[in-house]
Amino acid sequence: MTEKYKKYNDINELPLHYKPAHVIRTMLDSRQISPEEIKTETLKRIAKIDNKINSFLRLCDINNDSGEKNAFWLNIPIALKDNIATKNIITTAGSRILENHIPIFDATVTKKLKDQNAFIVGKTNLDEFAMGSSTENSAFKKTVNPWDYSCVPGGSSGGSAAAVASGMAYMALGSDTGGSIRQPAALCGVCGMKPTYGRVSRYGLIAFASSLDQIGPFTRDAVDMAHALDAISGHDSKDSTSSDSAVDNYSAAALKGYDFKNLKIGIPEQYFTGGIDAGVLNRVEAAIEEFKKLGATVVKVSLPNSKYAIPVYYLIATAEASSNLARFDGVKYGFRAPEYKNLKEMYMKTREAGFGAEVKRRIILGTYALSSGYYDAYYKKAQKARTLICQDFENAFKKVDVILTPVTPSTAFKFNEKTSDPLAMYMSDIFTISINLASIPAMSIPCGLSENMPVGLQILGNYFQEAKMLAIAAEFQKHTDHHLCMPAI
Amino acid sequence: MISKDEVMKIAGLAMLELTEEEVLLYSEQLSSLLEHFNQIQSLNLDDIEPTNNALVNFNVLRADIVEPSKSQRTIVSNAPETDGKNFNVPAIIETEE
Repeated sequence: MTEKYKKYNDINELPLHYKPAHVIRTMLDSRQISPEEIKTETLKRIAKIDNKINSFLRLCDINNDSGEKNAFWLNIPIALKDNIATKNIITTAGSRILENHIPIFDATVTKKLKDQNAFIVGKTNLDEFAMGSSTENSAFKKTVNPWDYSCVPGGSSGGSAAAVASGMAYMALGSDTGGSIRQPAALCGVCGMKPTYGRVSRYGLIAFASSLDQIGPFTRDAVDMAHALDAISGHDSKDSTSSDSAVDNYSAAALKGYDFKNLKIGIPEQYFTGGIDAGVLNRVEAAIEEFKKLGATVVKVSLPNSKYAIPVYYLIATAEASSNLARFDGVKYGFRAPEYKNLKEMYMKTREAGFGAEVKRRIILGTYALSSGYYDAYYKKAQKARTLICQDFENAFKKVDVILTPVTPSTAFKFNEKTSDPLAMYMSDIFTISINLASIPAMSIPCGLSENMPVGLQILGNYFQEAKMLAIAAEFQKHTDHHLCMPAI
Repeated sequence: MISKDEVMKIAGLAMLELTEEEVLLYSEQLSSLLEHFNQIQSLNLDDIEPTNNALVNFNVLRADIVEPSKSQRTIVSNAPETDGKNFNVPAIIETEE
């Protein structure tokens, strides 16, 4: 039997397609490799394996030479989730209703990466409108987990996670409304970060739940994550919810590292009781032990309202979604049903044929929560409970620098395992959704394998503490090799 | 418990024309989801302010400066039915015979 994965001893041993972007940057700058070579090699790899992985909905060749000459991402192959607008290139959000939608502008993150003259390889698969935890809700194709093709890559940013995990892109952007970056990052064995709400502009991100959505990167290690965040962060006048607070120099922080003797880690008891697979728990606890060995102090913290996170999240997210998705009516863009008698029938038939099952389920749940008679009992209560969840984190961060938790209760699950039971699918987000409700930043980094499948460790930080989190993650990766374990493809 | 009639009423509010199978499925699934979600009813939230967003910026203003906009032709370019300048929709006002 061939090995399913390979653990490399150090960064220099990694084959070209698995090297971190910062190594590719050095190779390009020192002319060990040319921009044409890295481009050709990446396209060859995609041609060879994406017929099995199915990360990409379409390839695009964006590499205009007018970019900044000293930029970190100059000529490095990257990918974008297909709910991020790319001017003149079809952007579908994984939905039939936007099957032929050609944006007339670039998302701010797209523009920022174009300004760096990154090589944008393609647009990646996702759950329709980013609603899902397995990428099975895409209207177009099934992306597989690069570690085991019978398993899901996670979701909703499954295509981006699988593209980085299988060496088809050195960085990919996703969006995270309830865990849609961190969960697939954990299940595919790469790093994924949801920055603080407002750190990255959402302009050009097709909206799911506006108070929870945030764009963030997938990368191979924490140093690359810092470079990605350097590229996409900052205030944007086109997104009034983007923050004008100062942006730290993330790559400088990650390269400097962190003295773990000054690190106080919080462990929330509510995230370590019941419902977690033994193999996952074991790897996460082992990672916490590694932090201790490296000098960190570990204390218990309490997040007592975590147990309400699933109902609070799904009531708020679906309410916002039902409002955001009202714009898909067959008039301004996208699909229109071919036959109808009048305007109302045109709306109804268009939306019935254009949306998939999970999107309709969420629109109905959200409309219900917002409808008169139920607004106070569901939507308003959920917003008040959201306050309690925020307060839990505010209290916890008075005592600690970061909080460590699992990302997911299990490793990647099989196709169709949870599609017939929405609640079971929603429960797979249990460790990630509170973070979106509280607007704080969090990242997933690889922390080993359970039965040959990757496990993620979640690092939670206080508002706008990304630099500290990245420094901690980079320091951890200096002393450990979990991030050097790659699927054998 | 959400009845089939309620699902149909909500679907109408959301401008969704569901099939009979969908109405039945969603009625069952939403009932079981709401049963789970009802745990928030046990929370005492009387004195708690609602949170729309933990970090929201209030009343963001910008200078009122005229800037070039996209052309009409560009804006309608994705419309399923257009004459190149307008979004074409079915007649809204009935005309008398």
